[in-house]
Amino acid sequence: MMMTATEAVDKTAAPETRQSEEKVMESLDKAFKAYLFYPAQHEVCRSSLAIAKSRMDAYLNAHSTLRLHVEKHRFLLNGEVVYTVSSPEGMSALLYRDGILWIEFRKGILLEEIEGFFNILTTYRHLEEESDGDVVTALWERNFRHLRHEAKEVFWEKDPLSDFSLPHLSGHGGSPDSEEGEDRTETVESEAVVGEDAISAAVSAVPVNETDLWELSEEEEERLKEMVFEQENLESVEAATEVLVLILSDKRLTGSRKHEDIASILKFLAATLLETFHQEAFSTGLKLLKRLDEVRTIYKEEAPRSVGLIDNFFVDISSPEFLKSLAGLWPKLEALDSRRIQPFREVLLLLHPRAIAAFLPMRQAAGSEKIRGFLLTIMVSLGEKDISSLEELAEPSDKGTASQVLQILDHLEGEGTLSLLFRMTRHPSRVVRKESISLLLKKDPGAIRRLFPLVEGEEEGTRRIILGIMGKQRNGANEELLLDYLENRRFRRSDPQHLLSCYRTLGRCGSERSIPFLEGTLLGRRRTSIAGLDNLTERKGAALALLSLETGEARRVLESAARSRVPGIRLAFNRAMEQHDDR
Amino acid sequence: MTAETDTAGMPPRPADHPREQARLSEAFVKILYGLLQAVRIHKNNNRTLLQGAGNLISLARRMQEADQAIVMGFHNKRIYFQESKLIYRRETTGLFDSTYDYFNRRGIVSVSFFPDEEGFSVDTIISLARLLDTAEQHASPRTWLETQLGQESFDAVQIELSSDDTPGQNRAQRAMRAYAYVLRSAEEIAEKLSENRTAGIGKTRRMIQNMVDLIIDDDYLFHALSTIRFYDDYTYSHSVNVAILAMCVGKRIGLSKRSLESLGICGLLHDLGKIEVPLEILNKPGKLTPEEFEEIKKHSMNSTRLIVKIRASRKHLSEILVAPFEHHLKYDLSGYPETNRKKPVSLFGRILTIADVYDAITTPRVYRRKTASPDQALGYMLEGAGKDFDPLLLKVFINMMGVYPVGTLLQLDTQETGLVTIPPEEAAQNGPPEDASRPWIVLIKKDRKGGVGREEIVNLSQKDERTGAYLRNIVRSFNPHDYGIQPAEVII
Repeated sequence: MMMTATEAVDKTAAPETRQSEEKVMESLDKAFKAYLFYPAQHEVCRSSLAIAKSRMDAYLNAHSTLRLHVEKHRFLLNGEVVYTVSSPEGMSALLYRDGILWIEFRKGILLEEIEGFFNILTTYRHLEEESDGDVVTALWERNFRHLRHEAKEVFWEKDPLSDFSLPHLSGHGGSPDSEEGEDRTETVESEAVVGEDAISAAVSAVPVNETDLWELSEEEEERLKEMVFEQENLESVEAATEVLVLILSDKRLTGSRKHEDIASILKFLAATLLETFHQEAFSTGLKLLKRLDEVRTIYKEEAPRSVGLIDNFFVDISSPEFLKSLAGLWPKLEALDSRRIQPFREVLLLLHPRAIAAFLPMRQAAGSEKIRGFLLTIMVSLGEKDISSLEELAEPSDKGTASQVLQILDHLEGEGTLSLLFRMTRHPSRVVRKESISLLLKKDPGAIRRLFPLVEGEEEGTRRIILGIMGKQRNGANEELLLDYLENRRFRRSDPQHLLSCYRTLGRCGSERSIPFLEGTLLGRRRTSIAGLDNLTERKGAALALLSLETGEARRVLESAARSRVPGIRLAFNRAMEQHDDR
Repeated sequence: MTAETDTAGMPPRPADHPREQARLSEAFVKILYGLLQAVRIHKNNNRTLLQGAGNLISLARRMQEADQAIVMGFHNKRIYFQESKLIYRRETTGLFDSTYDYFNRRGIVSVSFFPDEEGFSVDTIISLARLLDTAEQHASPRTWLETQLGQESFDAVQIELSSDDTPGQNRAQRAMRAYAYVLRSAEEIAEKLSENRTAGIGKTRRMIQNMVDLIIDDDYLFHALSTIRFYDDYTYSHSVNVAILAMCVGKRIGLSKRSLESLGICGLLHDLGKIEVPLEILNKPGKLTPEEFEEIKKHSMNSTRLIVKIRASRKHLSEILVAPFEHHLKYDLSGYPETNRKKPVSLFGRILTIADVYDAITTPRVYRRKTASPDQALGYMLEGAGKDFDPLLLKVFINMMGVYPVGTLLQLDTQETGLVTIPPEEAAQNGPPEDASRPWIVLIKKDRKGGVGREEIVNLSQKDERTGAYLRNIVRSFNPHDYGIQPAEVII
């Protein structure tokens, strides 16, 4: 942005006045530039604004007003150029663009007024052709006490017709009928002609003597004031929302543009919902979503083809993009009591379960336990509605996300939960796999049958978890699985420790039923080495299992092993005893 | 320099042909206005500027008849050439208005060009443009120009200034322009939405804000303006009138400027939904069938549905959505759209209902044999107080309009006829007349061309000093539009 002080010389202004004007303009422009490039609270903004204000005050104390006539690239004061700005985004260019003829700063101007002025300029820096306002409308709206302006009435090319020439009237005959479908205006008696002397008594439809019909009493004046007060303080969003929902529910909303109309209304309602979040008007937001939920029900019966639009609305407002603005809300929420939070909770519970994707990182980032707990309950409820969103999140996710999903799943029940947990047992993260197995077996111990093949897996931890869970108590099903695994030699791992763990687990969960197999393994001679395991390992495993069984029959077999003439059997028994004692 | 070349692609036809003269005049305004804009940003030796001045000279010489000067006049928001009113076409309205505005702001009532004079040169034209440009930088451009022209005159150009600054007249002109602009902006929005294009509210807001300022300054002027009826463009003039009347009520009850703006936009857009009602139903001369009436009834809901599509901030939209939806809902919640809504009609909705009905029943329509006169309309509406209309707001409305609203056509016992008016000075100082049954009227008389001529303004409260009897008494009231009278044209 190129700006130079003018070379023009004001013939009437004293040199010091001239200097003062230039200083004001320079500082004003500098402050505006700062506003363009830095956040409002940035030190550069604050200090440049303070300088501009101070110089402005100095000038206005001496001259009362500073009226700057606006040209595209310069400001004029009393017909002389006081400042030139070449940038298309300079103050003069923006004011000129919107048809402002002059702008006047007045004595007493406040810092907030200058700042407000800059805000307006920056807000409308880039003006779309079909905008919702411009610098002039914004200045009008703000109505700064110490900042005046005059603008052209029209600043766009195409001006309207402004001809009030008398039109020719004809054909006013026809059937009496008003817009309401009935003629309600049959009060004129005849086709009188101006100037005709068929004069009858004066006609006045409002009885002129009954002044109380049109004169206001004090009470009525007071009532009007109340009405105005209510209007000025009205929260228009709620009424607007209500009307739009009525329109959405109306059967007459038909035709080729139906979907487009519904979409535009829903777009507005989405923005409204967001605004209710910002204003903490949670009850309003709740009403809105409840009404839309009702509309969805109506559509299901009466307009099935439009249901998708409402569904999409709920999906859209549940997206991370939409909900990201909630991030600033959590700290405020912490201070609110549960009565205030309740409607917000209900709003969130009406969202599509996809919202979990937005809430997970928010929960992770939340410092407060209260908020973390709050978000967890919301996500649990959303997950209960439809677990597929959790599925989408769980599988390709990082460890942190998957762990959070597990925390949600911890509170969920049902086949979907178990199924997801089972899938998560194959998660790339070891921790996640472990937590998934624990959670799965905690929720459904019967799931061990599905999980059992994992004892053959590469991951020692997984194997240990499964066996640990299986061996927690006597359990016929677990015994059956292990018995089948060991007796039929289904293991493929050449890992003695693994085999020993399996035997030990069998001993913990098994019963007398396993003793024949264990006795045969410990005392028998029939087995040959398989998968690199020698007979000693299996005998030792059987001995360990028998030790854990702790039954009379088991002890009898063990005693036989201790007294065996076969050195390998005695060795296996002794090793098992050592290992058992070590534990 | 191409001073002698033809301008703006004008065909070489004789200038005495009226149509050709009109085209040349248009071209003259176009070049002149372009020149006045160019001088703001270019130095005197700029090629564009020199070319523009050359073209103007060339064209002036071509337009000149005999040895006469070319006199360009500015009066009553119209531009005149040689005392002939320039015909406004839709394509040129903007240009003419801007040009008129430019000269009006400087207090210039006419500029005469003397193409035969030796001094009629490019330099003179550019100096003139520079002088006019500089004038606006001064607090009173007219006074400054007066001083400058006293010191330095042009040989070949003569500028006539208004006798003084005329704020009252300017205000009326601004009000009329505001009416036209608002009307156009409503049309534009409707046009864009019906073509499924984006429509922004920015221009409309600007125009309505302008109107709010003027209404706050002088709402009586707008009472007169609200009597305007464009029959070919009923929906839009009706919408502007409703906006005006609603804002005037809003001002009376003390709404803030910000709320007046929203209320005005509600009024302007309340019938937007009618763009979806087939014209053959809207303009059907006979009684509507139940199906047709059902179609009509959709319009208030459709207005809101269309307003949502307008590009505006959510806050603004929230403020302007509800009242258009409600404007056919009566005070007792009968009317339409029929919904299960139990909420009372909003303040804006109640105001709109009153303004809408008043304007509708005082407007001649093809489906109505007779139209109520303004005072009769009020009487009719009084019958619906408490049922159709908020009784308190209706009181305010009648109080505001007067027993005989501005624009009512009155027949007097003196065989005179007049339109109810409020003299500007009265409006500015005292408000409406004390005796509501005896308003000020402007006497009118048919002219030879079948139009209406304006005569003196009289106070119907005036009495004969000798007998103490009133000098004039009202015999009967009429709707001026039933007699082809556009009150605004006479009153303002």
